[in-house]
Amino acid sequence: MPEHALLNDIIDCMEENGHTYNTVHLTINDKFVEEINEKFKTKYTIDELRKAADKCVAHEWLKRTFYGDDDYQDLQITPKGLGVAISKRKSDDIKRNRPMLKKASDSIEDHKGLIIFLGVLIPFAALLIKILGG
Amino acid sequence: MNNKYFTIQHKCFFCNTPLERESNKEYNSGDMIKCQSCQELNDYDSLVEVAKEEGKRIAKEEGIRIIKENLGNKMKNIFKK
Repeated sequence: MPEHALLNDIIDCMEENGHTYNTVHLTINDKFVEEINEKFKTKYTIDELRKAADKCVAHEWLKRTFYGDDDYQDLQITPKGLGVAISKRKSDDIKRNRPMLKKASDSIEDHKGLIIFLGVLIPFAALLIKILGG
Repeated sequence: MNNKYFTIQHKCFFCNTPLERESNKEYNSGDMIKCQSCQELNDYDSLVEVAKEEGKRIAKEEGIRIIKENLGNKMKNIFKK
């Protein structure tokens, strides 16, 4: 999601340069779009990133610090935005480091509706084949 | 001067729903709290930081309100004399 790409980019910049959240700013321009797409191996357009920035501002994950003609200059992450990005990173790490058995169990849990449907369909189909064959 | 107390509720970062504590569970630094509404995991430390910022904001607003009230009263007393 482009929103997470924006937030993660800010956090990476903070960590690489030893800055706090209120000293890092983000400006969405063509150069930034190129950098984001190269970094995250994506194909976002400038409009998609601007829409994502609008969404982040609406959710108070980012805030505008520049009040001029450009709404996408000097955007700053908020403590809430930091929380979203950090929570998402940790949650993805947890999912990645699950043991094989837990991954299988979670997959079954996520698709239990389909599994129940197949569990009913297959024996029913087998019965039908037996009746029609016999 | 009396102490004032405010309650700040932790809200899910993703859907803004108030987070509920699982019964008898104590949360510590590093824990992740699952939102009952959207099932997303919220980092406990980040929730505490957001609550601190919210607390500072509320305390500042309340302080300004008290100062304005006291100044207003003092001005009224000056003009009464």
